[in-house]
Amino acid sequence: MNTLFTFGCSYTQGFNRSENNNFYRRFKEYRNGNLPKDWPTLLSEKLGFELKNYGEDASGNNQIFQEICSRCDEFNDGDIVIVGWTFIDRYRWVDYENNTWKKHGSGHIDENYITKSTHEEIVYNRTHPFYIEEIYNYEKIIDELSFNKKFKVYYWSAAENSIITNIPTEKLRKIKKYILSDQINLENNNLRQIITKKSGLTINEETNGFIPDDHLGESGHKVQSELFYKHIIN
Amino acid sequence: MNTLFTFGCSYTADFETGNLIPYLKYKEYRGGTYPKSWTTLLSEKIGMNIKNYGIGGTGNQSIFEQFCIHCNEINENDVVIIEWSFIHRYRISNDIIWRNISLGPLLETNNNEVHDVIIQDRTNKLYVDEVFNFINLIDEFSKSKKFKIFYWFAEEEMKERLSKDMVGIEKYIFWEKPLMGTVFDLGGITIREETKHIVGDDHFGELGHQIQSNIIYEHIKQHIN
Repeated sequence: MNTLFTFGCSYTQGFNRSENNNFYRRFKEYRNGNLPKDWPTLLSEKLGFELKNYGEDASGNNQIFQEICSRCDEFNDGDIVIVGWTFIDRYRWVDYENNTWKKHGSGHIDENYITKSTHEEIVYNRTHPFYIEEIYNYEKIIDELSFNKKFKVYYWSAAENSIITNIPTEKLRKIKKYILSDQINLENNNLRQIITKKSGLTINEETNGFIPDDHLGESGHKVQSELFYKHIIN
Repeated sequence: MNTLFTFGCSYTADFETGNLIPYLKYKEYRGGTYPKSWTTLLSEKIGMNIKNYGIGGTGNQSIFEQFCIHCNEINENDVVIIEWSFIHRYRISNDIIWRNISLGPLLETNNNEVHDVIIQDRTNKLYVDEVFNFINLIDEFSKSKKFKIFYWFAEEEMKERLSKDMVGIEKYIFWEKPLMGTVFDLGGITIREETKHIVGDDHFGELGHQIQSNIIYEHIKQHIN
């Protein structure tokens, strides 16, 4: 059996390993003790593939790419790899106490780990388009590896208004490796908007505002898996 | 004819593209010519074309990105040598180009406090692990495309931390002593010494490059076609 590999941030991680996420715990309670299947799980079932989901919440693109680097020897002929890039301002910083990476993005930070001024300078610098170019350069080696090892690779972006959607529409339409490249554009049709148009809801909407989490809920994950499936099989 | 690809910082970059002002003085001192760099000398020894993508001042993020940019040029039986640089080096965008930053105070109006904090962060071994993750992907790519890959480390601290794992693994061009020390022991000297201190630069001069090319040749010759 072939394997579907997924990499990305919380928009890929889905509900697995959700014990530490307060909103997901409440969502589970709200749903009488169960969580819906996330899009990687639904997609792997449609494809008849085993699933290895390496998505990890709050990851930035460097972290996501590092995960691909460390797992790439698992990819085989006929497998499918889906990479969900995330917001370019996210970065990682060493947590010296625990000797692990601490993930940061714009917004509130824990000043025990990094000063506000350092954080702000890093985030500001990371808004430059060079950090998007860096992603496209990473894709070059993944694409080459995919060609040589004969696995399929697809990309999408949770950062709706930068990575992938910044490619001129005419050029983007011809690039099959970008999921929904035939539909998305920068102005008014990013992935999230397409999911909404097809009645895919967020957790916030599905719980009538009871759980204020804007990640996708059951219907959203279902729509996302259907959209991805159609793109892949065509 | 196959090609030798080299990636790295100033210890790999050619004199012509090394982006260093002292090199211009060195050229003048030598009557208008540069000596051949170790990359050129090595390509001649192994009978391959040379594509040297080393860039002076770069850190490991940039070195890896250069490899990504050029990876589609590499073919079966080519040889690739990547020199990993100092782990504290980082880069920021300055609107026009990536600006590579290393140890020492920033000269312009940038925030030195932020710079110090970033340099401090980058001394953690997680940044060494990051390089080894890059290596994992490059190795996999090398296997899939059937070219030969070799690595060496400009940073002695990084090499020392990893030395036990590296000895005897053919892909690592490893010297028991630090690179500079080994080249010195074999008679290599720096540009500063070669020019009797007229040019204040501690990169290798002509003899140093010759010795470095010999050392690398001795290591790789048994592993290439």
